[in-house]
Amino acid sequence: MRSNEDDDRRQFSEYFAARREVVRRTAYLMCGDWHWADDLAQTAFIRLAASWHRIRDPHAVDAFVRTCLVRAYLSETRRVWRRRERTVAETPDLAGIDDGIETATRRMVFAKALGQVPPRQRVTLICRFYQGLDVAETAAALGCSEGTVKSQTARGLAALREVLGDAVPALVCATEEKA
Amino acid sequence: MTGLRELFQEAADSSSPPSRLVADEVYTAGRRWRRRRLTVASCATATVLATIAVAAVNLVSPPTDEPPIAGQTNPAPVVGPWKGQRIQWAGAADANHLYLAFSTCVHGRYPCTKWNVQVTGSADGGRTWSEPGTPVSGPGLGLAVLGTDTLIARPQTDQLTMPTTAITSTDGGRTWTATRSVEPVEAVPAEGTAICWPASTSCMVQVVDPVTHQIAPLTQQPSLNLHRDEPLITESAGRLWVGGTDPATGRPGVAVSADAGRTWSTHVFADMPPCSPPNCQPPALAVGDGTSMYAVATGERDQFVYRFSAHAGKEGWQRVTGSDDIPNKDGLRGSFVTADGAHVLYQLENGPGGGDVLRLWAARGGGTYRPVRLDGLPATAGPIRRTPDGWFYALGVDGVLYGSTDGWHWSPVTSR
Repeated sequence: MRSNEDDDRRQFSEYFAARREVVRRTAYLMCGDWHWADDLAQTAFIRLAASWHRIRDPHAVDAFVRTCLVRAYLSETRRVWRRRERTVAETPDLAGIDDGIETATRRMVFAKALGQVPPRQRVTLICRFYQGLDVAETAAALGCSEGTVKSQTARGLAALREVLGDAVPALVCATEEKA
Repeated sequence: MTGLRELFQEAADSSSPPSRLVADEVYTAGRRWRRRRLTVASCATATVLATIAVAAVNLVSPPTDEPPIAGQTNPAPVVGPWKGQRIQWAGAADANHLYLAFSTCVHGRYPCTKWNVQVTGSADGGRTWSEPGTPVSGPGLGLAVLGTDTLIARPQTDQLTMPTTAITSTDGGRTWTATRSVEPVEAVPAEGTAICWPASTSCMVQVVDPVTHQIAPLTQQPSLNLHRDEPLITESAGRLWVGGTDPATGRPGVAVSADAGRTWSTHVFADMPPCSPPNCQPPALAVGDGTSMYAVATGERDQFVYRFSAHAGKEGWQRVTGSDDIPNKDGLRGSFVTADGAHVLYQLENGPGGGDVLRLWAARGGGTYRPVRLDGLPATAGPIRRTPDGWFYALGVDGVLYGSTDGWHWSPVTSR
């Protein structure tokens, strides 16, 4: 019994070490704040630890964490009294040390634009274009129908296009077909 | 052309502060959360069954032990610090080996006893943190980092009683061992560290060896009254430096030993007006690049800055007059030398909203001090410290530890 517990802990630690940064960065894209992203990642991993004994398929683990993360974030955005959507100013951590000016500027503009897309649409875009999920997988993560994913994607892209304007002119054209 | 996927990737790849999430802590919290849920669920089931049974036999007597309410929401477990916990102290051996002392609190029980602390350490610059160590207690604990895994503390039972024994840890604060006083020694050995051990009104230079758990006074002591609140003795360019006040005049001075504490030479800042304690404080020392040292001395009305430097084979202390316009106010103050050699003076002053605000001035090479700002450090933070390898850190009023590689640009190391 003890050895099973130790094995579980070890396997969880290995998965955690391999995926923490990905989960954290996904959370950061959602909320735009590294500390909040840590909280969200923590919530997702705690849920995972609680269910670790009954999840074995690595793909199922990724999907489980993603679903926990998405729902934790959307749940928090609904709690107006707590954190709401925080407008994050152009923080220095948006720019990497070795970035060129063009890359850094593009990153900041995009991050700012993404922050203005409504939360549910933003999460849909992150699932589709950052995580590379198809419509069905995104629907599973969000707990909605595939039709809703398509409409949320279209609206999210439109919102991005509206905010970005001419700043990054080609980006949406290149991806609209995928949506 | 930049695709949407690349833009997401770029945004996600922005440099991030280190995460405070630790696998073991998260796993433990998850298991605890599951156990709670199972307990609540089983209690709820038992309650429903009991209610049905009670209703079936038409019993109306109240239950003697109230079970948990079915459907009650459990707060999500939090990986520390728990509510009520505070970072009491932060220390660092270098940019990677960091230590925090938290007030000890059992989850859900607060207010905490602030004097009891547990130390947690990080060996990877704050990315991961160790389990909190054995609690140690004392209002003026005097925690200090002696080396990468070595710490010292001087627990007190109350603020008026002298600490009797130093305790040291060689495993980053997990466990502590009391030191044993031994006979005086002539010099600080290679494996030992010089510390300032509180005496009645001053302190005595002692040598501590954390491995053998021995502590011994130096045979030859500096001829100054030393600052008893600062446990560490500054070491730079192979010399020991300690600030104090001249017993005869009360003027601030600095004692230096170039032979590991065998002999000391003393320089008293004679141009400062004489004064009596507590109005005349020992100078605060700030290490530069190894060839320069700053001493900030505070008199009854004025603050004086002195710079030690070597030129053309001659070395000595010189007064820096460019700081004369800086107001001398009570409160936290200090100084440090940035990576590019600027000397920064700081002090906390009352801000417009009533809170404390950090004000800073900087000068290079003994020039005039000008107001400066530090990028990324909150308005209320300090004291600002520099590790021997040149990494800077400070604790913000927001309970976050901030770090900097150059002293000018700061970013959070921990989060809350």
